[in-house]
Amino acid sequence: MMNIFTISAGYIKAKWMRTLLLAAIFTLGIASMFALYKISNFVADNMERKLISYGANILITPRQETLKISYGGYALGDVTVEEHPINLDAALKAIDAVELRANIAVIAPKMVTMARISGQAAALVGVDWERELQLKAYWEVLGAFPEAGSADILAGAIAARQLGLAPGQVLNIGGREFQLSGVLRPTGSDDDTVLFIPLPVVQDMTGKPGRISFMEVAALCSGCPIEDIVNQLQAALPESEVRALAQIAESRMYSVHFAQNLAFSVSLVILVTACAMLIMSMLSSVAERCKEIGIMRAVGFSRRSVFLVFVSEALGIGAAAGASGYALGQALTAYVLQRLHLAEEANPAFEPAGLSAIILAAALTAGLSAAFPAWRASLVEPAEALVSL
Amino acid sequence: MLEAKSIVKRYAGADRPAVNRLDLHVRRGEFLSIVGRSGSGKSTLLHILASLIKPDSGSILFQGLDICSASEDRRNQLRGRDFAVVFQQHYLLPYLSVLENVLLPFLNGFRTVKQPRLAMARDILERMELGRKENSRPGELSGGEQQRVAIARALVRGASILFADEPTGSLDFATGSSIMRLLHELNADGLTIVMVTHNSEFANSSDRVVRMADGEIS
Ligand SMILES: Nc1ncnc2c1ncn2[C@@H]1O[C@H](COP(=O)(O)OP(=O)(O)OP(=O)(O)O)[C@@H](O)[C@H]1O
Ligand SMILES: [Mg+2]
Repeated sequence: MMNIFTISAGYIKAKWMRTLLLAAIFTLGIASMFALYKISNFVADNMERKLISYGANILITPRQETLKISYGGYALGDVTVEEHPINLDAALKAIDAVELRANIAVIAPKMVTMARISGQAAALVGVDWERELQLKAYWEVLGAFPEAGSADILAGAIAARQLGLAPGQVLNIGGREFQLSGVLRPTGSDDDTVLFIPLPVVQDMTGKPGRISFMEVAALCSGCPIEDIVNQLQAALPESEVRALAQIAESRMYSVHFAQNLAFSVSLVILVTACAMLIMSMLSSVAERCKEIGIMRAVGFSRRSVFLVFVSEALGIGAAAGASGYALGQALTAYVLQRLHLAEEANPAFEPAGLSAIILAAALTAGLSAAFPAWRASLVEPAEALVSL
Repeated sequence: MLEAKSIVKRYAGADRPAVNRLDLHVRRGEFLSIVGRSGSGKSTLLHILASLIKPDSGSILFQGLDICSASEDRRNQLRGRDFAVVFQQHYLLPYLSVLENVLLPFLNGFRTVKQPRLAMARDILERMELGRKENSRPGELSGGEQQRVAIARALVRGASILFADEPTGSLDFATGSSIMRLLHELNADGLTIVMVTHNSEFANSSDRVVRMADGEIS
């Protein structure tokens, strides 16, 4: 097969050192860009999935109407005018009807009250064991977690220390006996300072059956903004106040995005350097091959044909670099994910479509870079190049 | 066959024209030699006739067309199909094989070179006694062989006029003579040849000699 590419292929082969160098730099740029893209995507994905197991990210509380009272510039404090405690069944029904219901993983209702245990004040949080344990998947316990539906209780680490509690102990709260099935290991959150007891017990104690103080919700927001879920929940529960607790998540995602951007900039710099090197190297080869260009013109090559000879050279180098960049990028991705101990979860799969796309993009990038030198080459006049002095 | 009228070419910065109001008629089938002192404008004239450069003024009629005012496309076509050029240096592409170099005029597009043209190129190489060297690189050939490959490349598209600028200039006498024999053979087969040479013996072996001085025919 002989056509215009025979010329560029011959030159590429003859100048194999130069070709290899250019292809290597392009390969590096493409590989780093591709690997960083895959890794950061993977980490971001992983991050979002992890965020769910960090607990609730939406809080539903009764709407409180408070009145700020001050007199002569002296604040007298806030007065809660009215409170609508949430009706659990009605709220659950309303939540079931929202459009993004599928993105809501766990709804954990709670009722809080204070009680005296062996003469000391203690905060009691009534929970549904099954839902709560699903939400607080990160909890670790000394002893055991209560069975779903059981009347056992759990104590936070600080509360247990203050009250001198140990797993297996029986407590008397409001005249009823409860078995402490376990004590939580410190979590660093408010959970450390309270006792968790079955929700119906607290509803009985407070005389508000079927009512709850607030709900914690874990929404999966991979691919959907949490604001949408919040807005839909708020629309479904007009009597309550729905808030996103996403600050932690957001700041974590922010740092992932920052790293992504940084990585992207670095690989862009490598790629731009590769393009600059290609341009420089081709400009000098145009000067060097002036007479060759002259003879091509003298045997009938149009300016377009000369342009093509040079661009096709870059297209070839770019395509080769695209293929090797893809391979190197895959290897790099696998290596980094393995170092991050994420490799079992995501082994980079070979994607023919991705490979073709990268080869195409690399060839185009190189071809575009070559456009200027190739244009310079096309300006060489047939005779200009052949004057021998 | 080719009629040049009142050709003027002055290079930028030169105080007098390299070719000055020159008239020349090249007849079909003739072997014309151009001689003259160095700097007298022989190469400039040859390049203008071969449509490698444009004169400042004047006209050159070829097949009823003024090639000086022809379009870029038409001039490319003339260079590719009707005119053949050979220089003192062979200007072969060192990274292509002998056969690929001969086929260079056909390598200007995406279409691949097909059988009849390949056969034609091999025929010409055979004729130049280079049949067994088609896969060699130009660097592996002698000076005379290189020049014969350059002539084969010039003629592969079936040109009717060959413009040769000192084709024997960098060869020893014996090799130069063999190139001259080849040119005479081609001329005998009907090829019109315009040759610039410093060698008076070679010039005198041609049909007609034109002497140039200061850009004019003397
Ligand atoms: N590209 C150019 N730019 C400027 N001046 C040129 C150029 N080519 C030739 N000249 C000048 O034009 C004049 C004619 O040059 P030309 O090359 O036609 O001479 P020549 O007869 O072929 O000489 P030689 O026998 O040495 O090859 C000379 O004075 C030369 O210096
Ligand atoms: Mg000359």
